[in-house]
Amino acid sequence: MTDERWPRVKALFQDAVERPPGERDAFLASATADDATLRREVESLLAADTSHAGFLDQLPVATESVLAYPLAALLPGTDPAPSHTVLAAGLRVGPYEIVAPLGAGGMGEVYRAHDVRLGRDVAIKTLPHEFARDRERVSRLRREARTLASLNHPHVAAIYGLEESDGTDFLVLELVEGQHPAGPLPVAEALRIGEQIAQALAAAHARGIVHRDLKPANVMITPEGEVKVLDFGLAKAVYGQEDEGTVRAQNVSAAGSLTGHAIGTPAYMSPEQSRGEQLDPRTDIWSFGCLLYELLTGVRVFRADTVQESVNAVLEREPDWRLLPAKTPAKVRQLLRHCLQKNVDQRLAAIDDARKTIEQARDSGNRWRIASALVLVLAAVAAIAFWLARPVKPTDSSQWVPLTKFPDSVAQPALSPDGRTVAFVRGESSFYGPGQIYVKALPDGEPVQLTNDALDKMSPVFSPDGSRIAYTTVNPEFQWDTWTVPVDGGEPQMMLKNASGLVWTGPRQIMFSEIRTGVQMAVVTSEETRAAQRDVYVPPNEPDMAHRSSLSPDGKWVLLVEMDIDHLWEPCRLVPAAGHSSGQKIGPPGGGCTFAAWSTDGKWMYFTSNAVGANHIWRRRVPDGKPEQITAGPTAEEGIAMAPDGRSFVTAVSALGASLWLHDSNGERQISLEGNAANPVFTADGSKLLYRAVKEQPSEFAFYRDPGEVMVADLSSGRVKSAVHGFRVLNFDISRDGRQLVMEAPDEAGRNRLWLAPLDRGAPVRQVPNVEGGQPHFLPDGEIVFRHNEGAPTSDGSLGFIYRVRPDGSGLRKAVELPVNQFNFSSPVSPDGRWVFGWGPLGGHGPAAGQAYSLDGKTPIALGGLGQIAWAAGGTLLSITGSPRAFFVPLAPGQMLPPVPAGGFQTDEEIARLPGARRIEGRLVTVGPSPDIYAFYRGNTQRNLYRIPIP
Amino acid sequence: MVSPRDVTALLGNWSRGDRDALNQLLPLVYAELRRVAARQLRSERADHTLQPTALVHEVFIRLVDQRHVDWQNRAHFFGVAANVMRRILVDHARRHLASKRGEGVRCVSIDEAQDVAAANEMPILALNHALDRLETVDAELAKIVELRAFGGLTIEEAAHVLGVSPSTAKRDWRTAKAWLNRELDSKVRP
Repeated sequence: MTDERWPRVKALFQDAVERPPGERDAFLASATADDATLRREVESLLAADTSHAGFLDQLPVATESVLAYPLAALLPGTDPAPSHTVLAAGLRVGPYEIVAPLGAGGMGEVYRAHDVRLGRDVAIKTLPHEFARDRERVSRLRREARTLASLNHPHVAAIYGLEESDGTDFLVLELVEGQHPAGPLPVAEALRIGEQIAQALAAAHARGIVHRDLKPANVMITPEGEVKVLDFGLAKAVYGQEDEGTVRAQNVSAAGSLTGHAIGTPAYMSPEQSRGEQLDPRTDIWSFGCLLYELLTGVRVFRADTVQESVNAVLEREPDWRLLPAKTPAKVRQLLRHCLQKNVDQRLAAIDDARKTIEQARDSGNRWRIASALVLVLAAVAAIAFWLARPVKPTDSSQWVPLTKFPDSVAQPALSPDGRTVAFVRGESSFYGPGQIYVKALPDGEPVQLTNDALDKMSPVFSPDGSRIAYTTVNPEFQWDTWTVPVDGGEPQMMLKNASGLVWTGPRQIMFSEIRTGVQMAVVTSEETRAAQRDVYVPPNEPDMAHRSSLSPDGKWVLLVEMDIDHLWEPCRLVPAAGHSSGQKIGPPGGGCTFAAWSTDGKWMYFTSNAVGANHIWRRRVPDGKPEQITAGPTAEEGIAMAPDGRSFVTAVSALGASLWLHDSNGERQISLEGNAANPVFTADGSKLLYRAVKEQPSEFAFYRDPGEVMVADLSSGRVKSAVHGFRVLNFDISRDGRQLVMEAPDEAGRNRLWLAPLDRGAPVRQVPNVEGGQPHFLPDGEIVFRHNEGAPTSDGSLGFIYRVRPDGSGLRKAVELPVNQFNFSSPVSPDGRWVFGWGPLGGHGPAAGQAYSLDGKTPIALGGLGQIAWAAGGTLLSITGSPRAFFVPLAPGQMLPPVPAGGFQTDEEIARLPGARRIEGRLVTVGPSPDIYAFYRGNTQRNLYRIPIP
Repeated sequence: MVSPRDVTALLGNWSRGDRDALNQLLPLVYAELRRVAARQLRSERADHTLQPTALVHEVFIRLVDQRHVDWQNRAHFFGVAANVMRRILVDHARRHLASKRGEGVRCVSIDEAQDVAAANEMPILALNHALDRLETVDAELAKIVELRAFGGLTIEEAAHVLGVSPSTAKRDWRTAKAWLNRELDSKVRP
């Protein structure tokens, strides 16, 4: 069949197929007239349409697509709901709207669901059918669920309760996203995770709750690196006492988890659990030992091919202790032996002892770590780097010479062969991203833009004669190509397709990366025309990508940077240029290496590595020196262009921050100068903006835990000064008259106290007597409301209550009867002083939500999970802030809140519909005295090129 | 780390016609899909089967802030993901096939793959191959299959992504299925 006929075939088929089968023949006969070929075509399609065993319908992809995951359910009148999925997306069960299945657990299906009352997502787990029919067991589970719900711990995924709607019973659980831990992990990381699991177990055991099914699949590492232990005690709660559901090997499926009424998973089950005996907390200690062993070694301690073997191994075999990594501290080795004692009476009795042991082992491992605000997931990486690194010998940053002064970001410097011109990408990314190629004559020529297109770019490099710049582009189809552009200006030309990170290794010889299968990226070398191409390095796995390479001056070795299977940067690799070996990793251990270069004499290898959290420059003497860090400090340094004279290199130095900006009638301008800004608060008259200057890296929500000085920005003069010099606080507020500060800071004993200071520095700081607490705010009458911690931390924050007190310490009393988790917001006090905004459990014990709490004892008003409420200092405006937007809502005189839908605002649209509501785009907008004055955060990457002398 | 809000914003920009947003979105979706797929392959049983729509949904949930995305944006996301998913699945199937034959990945040609696929071993490769051919005949039909089979989109959503009416999409889907059935059937039965 030719393509020209297809439109006709298609039209006839679509027409015919809509008709009853009996009429099709006649229709086709008249429509195709004497064109028998055409008719056969259409008929063959019609036959394929009616064939019941259609191949396409058997494809797993086809049957599982819309049918198993029916977004259709959200859209009426489309595909039918599936038969085997219990709950379809879009379905409402009680207050929960099903979003999507998360997978089938051991006990039933698990779904992501949206709690429309509270405006947040939860996980709901349906119960097995045979279980749900047994009302006695359901009511027992309901009792158990209440006990389990009382377990509040930051490392335990909360169980909110057992609910029932329209005959469906389901558990409502905290939604935890992340990955299950999988060994082998670096020792420090394994211990960090182990410690948090031990904390979770300790909290549960203290309440008499035994997990009974601890294994990697029941542990989640959140994207923030926090550990959450899932399904505490659920196995027993659902299946009852051991004597009712004794585990027998023959009941166990080979897939690794149990079927039927069994509890536990063979490979992690304690011997007494395998034998179906009564259990106590020590069964969890055994499983904990199995888990920690696996995190350290990457191997299941009692691995076996069948369940029966697995059970036998648990009962009889000794763990292979030789597999533990050499760096495992002796204390931890001992602990593992103690946890994995087959005789329960000889086993470690209290999980808290395990926690202490790991804590001690970690502390001694961390002795060398400098205190720095590392992201948690990087902490372990840093610890390892410091074991191996020599003491830092940083260059003196006052000797660094700025080469560019862009207001935004430039990156990826390259020097011309004579060292007189620098090329770079002007753009946000130091990998590939939107941006343009620039050149600049050194030291003080004007920057010249050479490209002007929408392609993502990276890795500019000069040609050997210095006349052209080659660079990598990444197009929307994720194809990586090399282009060149003349240094004097002119049209960019495609040089090589499927070639990235290209460098010249001789006058006509190049080395570059080439995609093989999928995205597997190999380093190859060839002539400029791609003739005589041969492999230098092919990474082992398909998704691995070797992005950049650098040939040693003697031509014998290639340094390269690569990404692993998860597209995370690996330490740098050194391979022989001849290409016969995959060489070895030599970059700073534990850190991702993004750039590498050789010193001009070939005696040193230079790297950009984040082994200490931030990117800095490292080097290592050839052949076997230890890595040493040569830049340090608050900035990050990325990229290395060696000067031809060998005495300096050029790198891109960046200061990442989230700075505080002001929007007013004069436009937008930056307020915070150095470090990051937290807790912006306007004075009531709008003349000043106060904030806390912190050194922490910016976070999405700007809830910084780093104490900092209160800064006062005078908005008319633009001057910024410290309010109380040298006094570092956690939270603060300014009185309505703009004269008094109240601050939260620890006293000498480490207890959080409230402190007062006049803004004009006319008197020293004094403590509010007899009060312990934090997150203080002034009421209009000068009294202070603050939060006092009362109890163990919960998944939503610690439990506490709002109190009020006069500045002299008198009149201390509870201001709100219900507990409040968080009160560290900007301007959370209504103008009339009768309402405060906080984040706390609904009804005092439900899930947490943003609420307006009455100081007069009225019922709180749930405001939903969309953001935080702040009242403008002038009292005529309310802001509802999310990220990256806020809504300003005008208030009538005397009005404190706009009409709030029952359960709070669920969508932006509901807020946008409020009379006079105005949408403000921006991160974490803080409302000022009028709708035209507000502060907001702007993430800024200021990155410029510097020349750093080689030490 | 890209936050769900960033991805959500990119989706919004893209559906408003910002091409740059797609450029930024694609690598994110690709990287995340790869990561999730790789993890699933590592952790599952040896005879693992990838469940593409489950993967795509997982990635969607991880990358996109659910509260700030409407269904049109969602459809666009799945439109992108469907194509990426197809590539990942085909790569995976080829590798699986190669390992079964004890050969290196790169040694298997499409035709060889097709032979085995015809014997019902690797339906994904057969479908991919047939889709390639359908593409040359009627690209719209091929796209709708991709969206539905690899992206898990409904008729309604696929119609939105393709910019056609739902009834057209429904007709095209039926036509595409018939075409593919015929194509694959003729290969299975010599």
